[in-house]
Amino acid sequence: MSTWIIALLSIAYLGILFFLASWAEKKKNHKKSLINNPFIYALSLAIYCSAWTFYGSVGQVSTNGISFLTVYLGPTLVMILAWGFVRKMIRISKIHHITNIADFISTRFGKDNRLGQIITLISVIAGIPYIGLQLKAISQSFDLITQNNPGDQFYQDPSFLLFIAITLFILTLGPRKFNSSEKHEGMIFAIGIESIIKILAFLAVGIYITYTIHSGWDEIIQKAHLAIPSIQVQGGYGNWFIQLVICGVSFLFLPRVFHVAVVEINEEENLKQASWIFPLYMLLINLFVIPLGFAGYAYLQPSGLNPDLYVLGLPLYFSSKALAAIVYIGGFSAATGMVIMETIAISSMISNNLFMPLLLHRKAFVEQNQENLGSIIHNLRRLFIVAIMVMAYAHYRINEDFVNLVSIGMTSFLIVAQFAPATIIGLYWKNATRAGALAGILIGFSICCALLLLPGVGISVDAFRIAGFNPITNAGYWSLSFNIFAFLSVSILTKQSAKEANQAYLFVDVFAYTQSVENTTLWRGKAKLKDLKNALAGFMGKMKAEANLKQFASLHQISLQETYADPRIVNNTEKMLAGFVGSTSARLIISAISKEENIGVSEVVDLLQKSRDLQQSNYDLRKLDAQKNEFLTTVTHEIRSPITSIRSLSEIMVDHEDISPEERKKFLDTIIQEADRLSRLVNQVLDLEKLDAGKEKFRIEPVLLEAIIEKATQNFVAIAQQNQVSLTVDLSQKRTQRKVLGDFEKLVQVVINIVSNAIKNVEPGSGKIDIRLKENATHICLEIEDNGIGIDPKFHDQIFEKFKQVDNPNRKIESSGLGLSISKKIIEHLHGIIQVQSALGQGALFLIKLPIE
Amino acid sequence: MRILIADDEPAILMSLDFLMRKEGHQVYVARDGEEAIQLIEKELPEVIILDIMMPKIDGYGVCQQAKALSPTYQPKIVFISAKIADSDIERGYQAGADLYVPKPFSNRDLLKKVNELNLQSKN
Repeated sequence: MSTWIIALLSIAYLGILFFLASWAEKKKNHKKSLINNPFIYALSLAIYCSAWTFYGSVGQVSTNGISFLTVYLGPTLVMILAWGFVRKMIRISKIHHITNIADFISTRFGKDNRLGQIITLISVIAGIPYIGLQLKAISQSFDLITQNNPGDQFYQDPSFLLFIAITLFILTLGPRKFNSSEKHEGMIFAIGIESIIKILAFLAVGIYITYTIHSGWDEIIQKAHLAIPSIQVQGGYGNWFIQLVICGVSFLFLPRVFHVAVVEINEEENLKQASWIFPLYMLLINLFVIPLGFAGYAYLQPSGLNPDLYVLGLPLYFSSKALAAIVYIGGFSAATGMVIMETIAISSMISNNLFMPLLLHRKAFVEQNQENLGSIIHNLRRLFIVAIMVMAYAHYRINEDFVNLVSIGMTSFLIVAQFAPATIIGLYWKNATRAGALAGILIGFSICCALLLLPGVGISVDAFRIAGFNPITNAGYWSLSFNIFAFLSVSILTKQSAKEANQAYLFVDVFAYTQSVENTTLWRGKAKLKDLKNALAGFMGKMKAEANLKQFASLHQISLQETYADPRIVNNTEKMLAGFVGSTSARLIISAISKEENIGVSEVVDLLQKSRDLQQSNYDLRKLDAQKNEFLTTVTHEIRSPITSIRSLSEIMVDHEDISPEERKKFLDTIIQEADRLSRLVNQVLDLEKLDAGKEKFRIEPVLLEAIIEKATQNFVAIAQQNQVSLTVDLSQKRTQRKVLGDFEKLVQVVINIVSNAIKNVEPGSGKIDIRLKENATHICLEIEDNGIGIDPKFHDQIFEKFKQVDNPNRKIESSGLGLSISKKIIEHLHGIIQVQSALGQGALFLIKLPIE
Repeated sequence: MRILIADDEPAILMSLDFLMRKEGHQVYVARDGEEAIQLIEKELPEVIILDIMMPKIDGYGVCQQAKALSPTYQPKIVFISAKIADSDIERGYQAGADLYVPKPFSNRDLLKKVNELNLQSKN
């Protein structure tokens, strides 16, 4: 295809991405986040699948068999099995305003910038060739699809144009001034779209080759067998296992993956769903790797095409130009996605953890440039992005014919995996020290370099070669073992500083103290308010900084009139700065403008615990308060009805002197009844309060339930007759005279409460109320059944709560709304159970089970 | 004037029934929402005095159904309720009440307001 068509297609693709990203940014400014959902989050995680997965795994199948699967299984297992760990990283990063992986590790070990610098350097060493690899994939696929023969000079290479376009893309959407730090809404949306495009492209070519050109897997495998004697599979299980470990542990520590997984996540909740969506994505994108690899081998191996390009070579071989263009764009999106995020993440590390600490260590510089720090960093960041891109491009040009996609990718993984022991163990083991982390990472990294680079300069490392391992897994085995060993032993042998111990606590116990950490001030010292304001203004602009401070001060009722700032303001300023420059650099800025005293770990733990206890009791109080309020509203509401009648009827008797004697009597009787009702209500409220407070006295003795029933039903004989309700007591099912432990009067009250409800709920004339006793070895059960209106099962729990019938249209279930909750309290005090079985229109059966004496 | 009073409190029903009859109105009483609707359909009273929390159909429901009965039938709706929060009163008016009288009320006050309503409707 024509060079220009493909070049234009690529540029147009970047243009559309740019448009989508800007659109998402705009949406976000209107408070409608397009990325705050598990799908986009999971898709953004798929940034893990770079051009390496897209082109390289097919290449690997045709050379190494199924070892490509480890690359896919490692992260899948992490997301499925270790999502608790991921959640912990996310929670910590949110609280401490972590901006990248170097920031994360150095903050864990006492905000030590030396550690951050080393991690940054190692990440750069691992990252640059890896970015170069993506540029190489773009360039190679471009050359293959256009049949272009690049010239010798880089400016003769059309893909150089794409390189510039991508750099501009990152510069425009990447670092932004005066904006909260490392969140790139638009970028993440674009990455999500890219993930969709690359998987669709890959599935398209997979389905085309497997099902359109061939009749399915079988045919392809047969073809491949004809073409090659056997597909080689390297090494044994050991090889496989080490490779799986490397892929799994390095997954989260790849700068770009850490960035999308931890820094950019909006809500922790998104992780839950992503823990299955992401593995599903990985499964789909690997579905056709094997048939494509085999088909590539069968058709393209004779032509000598680089196996890494089989995915693109196959549609070209079968002269399907449109599909080839789709595949090209898929690969382009895989590569650009990786390049964009990796560059942003690494540039954040270089500026926040490598360069800023150097700059900030000069107090004079900080003091002079307080107000411009934001712009300085912004410009530096852009410079770093360009530098990373140029280095990556240079690396690819220089090493063009040097290695295949997979080996650079794996090396990069292996180097990054060196961060895993200190991070993973450090999140669960408080005694891990900074010295231990430094030792582990440095030793692991050195061993990697030695084992992988020395053979290149002619020094043999065969003495360390374990049979069956390839160079990568061999280096992985030695480096990770020594890394872990050095980390653990040095940690045990060295002592933590106060700062380290504090951070260890905050990281390891993050879930216990999340709220407390956010609200507690772990800082003591003196800083001038003016200096803090200036430092902040340097990053967010003067207006915003002042507004922010004012808001914070009024929220916490802090005066802004003092010369020296309240510790809470210092704390808050550091947190806000951390969003811009990372946690370690923020600490440096603060210590440059303040005099600080150290706080010991016991004090920190103490502060956090106090804060947590306070929050808990606050929460309990609020809940209690809400319950009391609700109770009060309902009581006053219930009191209004009898008062209304009393008032209205009394008023009638005052206003109408001509009222007949019968009517006068009727009204006066009603007034008395309503007054009774009112005093009953008041008594019940008091009873309930006493029961609630545990002040009610119980006279516990063995009681015969028959006697209780008899006493309770005495009151109802007349009323039942009057209402034509049949009230029967059936004691035939209880044959012994066994007793329960209880308070006679209170149990009588319970039975009265339930029976009086039943009388109100049945129809006069046809109403039936049956009282029964049943017994088993341990309990006696008192049953009261009526054939009244019944209670909807959804209210069964509520009717035992205070006044819960109020919002129920069938509120005549119960008269004052308190009888049942009093009954329940009494029965529960006697270690019994009270339940109801009923449905609307089906009557109601109340069961009271009490343990036998 | 013909007035329907619906409340599940017999005592309140008793006093309002007496009060309205003394004023010379024709009074219908209902103990729950269903009964109220049946009576409204049958008698088409000019004024409907409704408690809000009633069994079967609540006051809002009765109000809604009464208003939807026929385009020519425009009864005046008066809610009497122990729900006295501003939000409750607001909701009552939104449901279509012409008057919302919180419980407990003064008879004279209630009568005066109902009469005013009646005058309005005649004008």
